[in-house]
Amino acid sequence: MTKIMLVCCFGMSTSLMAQSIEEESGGEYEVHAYGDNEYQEHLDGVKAILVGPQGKHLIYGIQKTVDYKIPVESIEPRTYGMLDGAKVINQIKRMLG
Amino acid sequence: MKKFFSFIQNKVLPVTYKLAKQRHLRAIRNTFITILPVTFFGGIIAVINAAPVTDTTTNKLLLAWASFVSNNSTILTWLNLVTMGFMGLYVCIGITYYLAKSYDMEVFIPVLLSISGYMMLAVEPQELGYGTAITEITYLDGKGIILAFIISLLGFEFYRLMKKHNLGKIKMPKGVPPALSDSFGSLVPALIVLAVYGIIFTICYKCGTTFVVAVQNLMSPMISAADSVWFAILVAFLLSFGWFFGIHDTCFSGFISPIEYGNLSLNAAALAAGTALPCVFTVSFWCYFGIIGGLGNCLALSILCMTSKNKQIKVVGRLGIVPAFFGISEPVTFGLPIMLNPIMFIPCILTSIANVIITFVLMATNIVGRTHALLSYNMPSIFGAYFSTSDFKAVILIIVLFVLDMLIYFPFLKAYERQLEKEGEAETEETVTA
Repeated sequence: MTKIMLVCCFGMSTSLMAQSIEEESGGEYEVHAYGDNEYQEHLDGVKAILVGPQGKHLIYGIQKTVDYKIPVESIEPRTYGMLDGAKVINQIKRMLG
Repeated sequence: MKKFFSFIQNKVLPVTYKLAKQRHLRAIRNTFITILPVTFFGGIIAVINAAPVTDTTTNKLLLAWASFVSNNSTILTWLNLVTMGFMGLYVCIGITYYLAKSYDMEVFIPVLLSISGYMMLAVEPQELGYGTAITEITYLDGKGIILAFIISLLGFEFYRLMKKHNLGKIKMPKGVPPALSDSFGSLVPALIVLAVYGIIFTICYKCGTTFVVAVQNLMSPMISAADSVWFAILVAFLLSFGWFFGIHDTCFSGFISPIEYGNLSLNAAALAAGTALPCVFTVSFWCYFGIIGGLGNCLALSILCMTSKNKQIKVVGRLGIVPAFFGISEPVTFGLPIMLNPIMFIPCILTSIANVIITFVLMATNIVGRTHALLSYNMPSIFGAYFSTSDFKAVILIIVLFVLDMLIYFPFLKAYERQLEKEGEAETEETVTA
């Protein structure tokens, strides 16, 4: 399973998104959501990082933390609001290239 | 309108993002998020401690509850005091911890210095005899938050700068373990910091006061200004306005949390002491009454959405209602969307402003009980309102505010529906002509 991380301010609403992606992926991805004060401790083995639209400003800091070795992107607001896991999976596939 | 939006996005957003990333504000914010277990525990004790009985109560269960409280008042008050009532101390420790971590520094010594300094300057010794020590500790609560900032921000930075410039670093011969020379490296700066605290204490003591009281007196006009309906409106406006542009409220919490939590702690202390609650605007006031269903009052909105004839809006309502019940408004905000949707701009801000004005007036005139506890930021408002005030009228107030929010949102949602319909029609027409 490929490890994916979602980051937002509390890890509260992103945990809903994480659930949806994991279900949609049918076991291909392992997705966890963390707040931006704790994600640093869970980076081990993570292949892609996504932030919620309310956390766009976190991207730069995360990129610096992971030394640009893991791709970091934000989820498009509408997709996020509809908790559309399938769309995010397409994004993840593109990120993993 | 478009110009205005792009101005905000290009000029104002970057500034708030910078604020959100600023090291010290982040440390403050992380601290207030993380001390939740302590305030939660204190909140539960406060709920137990506030048995809802009056002179005319005849319900046996409630009377038994009240007598349990009066028989165990020392226990309950102490449990509340060392959790909720030591908030200033915990904030001081928390900020120091997160700041030191953000600099990738060794954490223990800064925390140690902060605790020591805070206790030195916030506790007033009254009698230090052999075997007994009587001290005044009431300033460990929200009244000490400013002192907590001074110690954990200024005191810590002072220590860090001394350490950075290797002040007093004793050169060790080769072969001495690095860990040992490190601890010697912190020794001199640490001693200097403690000495400064000691001198401040001595000066204040000679003047017959404590540092925390002196700071408090100096700041009290500012603090009372922060507990006004104007300030509540300002917060409601600022946070909802930010939310409309997709800025999470935590970006501002470095400024607002200290006031909200400080006021709550003052109320908790007053309740424990049996005096009237001094403050209205607290964190519970805001998260249970100001934003019912998360920022943008999304509980009312998602119920309206569920009854909509438009399929897309209906789906958003269904997805959003459960999270909104627990104060999470992201699904509706981004799904409907509220964010950057000109039609939703007014109600998104107006609902919170209406909520805080009504609640503030009713609480300031003591028609509805004031808040004295915080259970969880995500507790549904209808429960949170009762537990934070121990007043059933607060539950009624929540229902009234909820209906009001629906009324405010209704015309705007209808307008949005019509707009979507028109767009839909235009699209089908296009495909026909093409």
